[in-house]
Amino acid sequence: MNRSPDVELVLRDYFAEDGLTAPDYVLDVVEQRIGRQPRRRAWRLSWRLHPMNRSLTYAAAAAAVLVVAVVGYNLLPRGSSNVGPGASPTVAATSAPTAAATAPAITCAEAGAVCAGPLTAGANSSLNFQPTLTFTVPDGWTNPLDTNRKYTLHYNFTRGHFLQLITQIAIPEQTTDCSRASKPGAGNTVADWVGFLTTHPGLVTTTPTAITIGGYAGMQLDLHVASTWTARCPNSLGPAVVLMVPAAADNKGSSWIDDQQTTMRILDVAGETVIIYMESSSNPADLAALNASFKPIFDTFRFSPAN
Amino acid sequence: MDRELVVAAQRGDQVAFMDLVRARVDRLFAIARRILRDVDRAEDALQDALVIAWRDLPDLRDPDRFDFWIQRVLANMCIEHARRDRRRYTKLEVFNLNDHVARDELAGVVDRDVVDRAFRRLRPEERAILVLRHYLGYEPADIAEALGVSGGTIRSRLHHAHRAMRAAIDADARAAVGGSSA
Repeated sequence: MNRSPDVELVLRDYFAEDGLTAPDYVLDVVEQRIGRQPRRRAWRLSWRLHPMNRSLTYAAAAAAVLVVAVVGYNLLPRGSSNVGPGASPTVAATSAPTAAATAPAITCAEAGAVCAGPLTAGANSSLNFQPTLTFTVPDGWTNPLDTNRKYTLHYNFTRGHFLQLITQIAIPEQTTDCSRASKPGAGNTVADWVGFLTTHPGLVTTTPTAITIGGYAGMQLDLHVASTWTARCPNSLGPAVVLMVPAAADNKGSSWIDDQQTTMRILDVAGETVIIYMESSSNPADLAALNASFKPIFDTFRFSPAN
Repeated sequence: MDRELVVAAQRGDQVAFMDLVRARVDRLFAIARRILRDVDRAEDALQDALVIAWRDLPDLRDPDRFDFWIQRVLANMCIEHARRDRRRYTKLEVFNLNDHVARDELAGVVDRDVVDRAFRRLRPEERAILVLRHYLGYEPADIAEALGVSGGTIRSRLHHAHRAMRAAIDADARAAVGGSSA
């Protein structure tokens, strides 16, 4: 007689423990890979989506799985001053049989976005970012994001080495959940941005200095969150200040900082405001070293505004 | 203790992270093998999942949910790998039966190869759902959260997967009966 077994019991037996353990080299490879995996620290440089409804929450979660961190943060032991691109990251050779096959693939930093991935040494250009950016880099640089309004450069997999160009932005008004809100009546010139940053009660800034990058004038200043500031953002590591929001109202992101040191270069590129953003740990010496190490790259920047 | 490790790992302590995953790696490997049915692919998916977990760990709001969270990351990575490799020839591992588990001891009467063939024919999402349900014991609501789809979708896919498995088992049983009576 044909007996029809309970399919759930069949599956439980089928999945029963078999005593196999993971080979040691699995964790060896993981340890190596996370050693050179840029860490996304609770978003930071990424533009956050703020939960609006359940489907958006799922969409954001799915996107998060695909995101490669654009946030570099110096997670190396404190006191390390070896933060310049001249310090080539060393990747230990491995005898793990799957190491070569599992080398980290470049995934663009936003779902559906375009990026060049590892850049060839020499001249490179943005494909989508406007104004078109042309620059020269040595070996070891990566482009994990190239949209019409954001362009990111990493120094390989070494943490704390990145810069991002951002355009089509607006001066924000900080909301309790740090969701997108532009400041009513605020302009978008270099002077408007400098005025916003230097008068913000939550920010401590250096004196803005005039700069020229790629033939376009602008201002540069360093900033960090003031010790007297108490407002926070979701997942922030402490008091946080919203720095930028997208100009387009349908983009719900916002960009904020908490405990890091930040340098902002604000350029007027043929009437379009472009911010070059970089950050380091809370140690000001790290930021200074980072600026010095990136200067040769900035010196090669050229912009080609759209007609 | 684990909560402290999770918090430390969230703050960038790689040693804490490795301690966390070292304590779980066999279990996670078992999940990956059960979804992917292939040791090599399971290793690849597990490695990728752990790297993603390291990267995204700061976004985990409740450190006490680390186990659920990392299993979720792994299940989704396995689905991604299964989709990616669907057309690629793979060395299909005969599922590691221990010697003490004889084929005909599976749920009393069912040939394990029959179950295995039926399981491999399921879509990657359905395989993940069955593993989460019958290996990890997740409720449908938890599976829905893990895979980022609605509870209704999970119940529907679970029903379909059960039905497909049952159809394969029943077909095999009918063939066996027919064969013995011939």
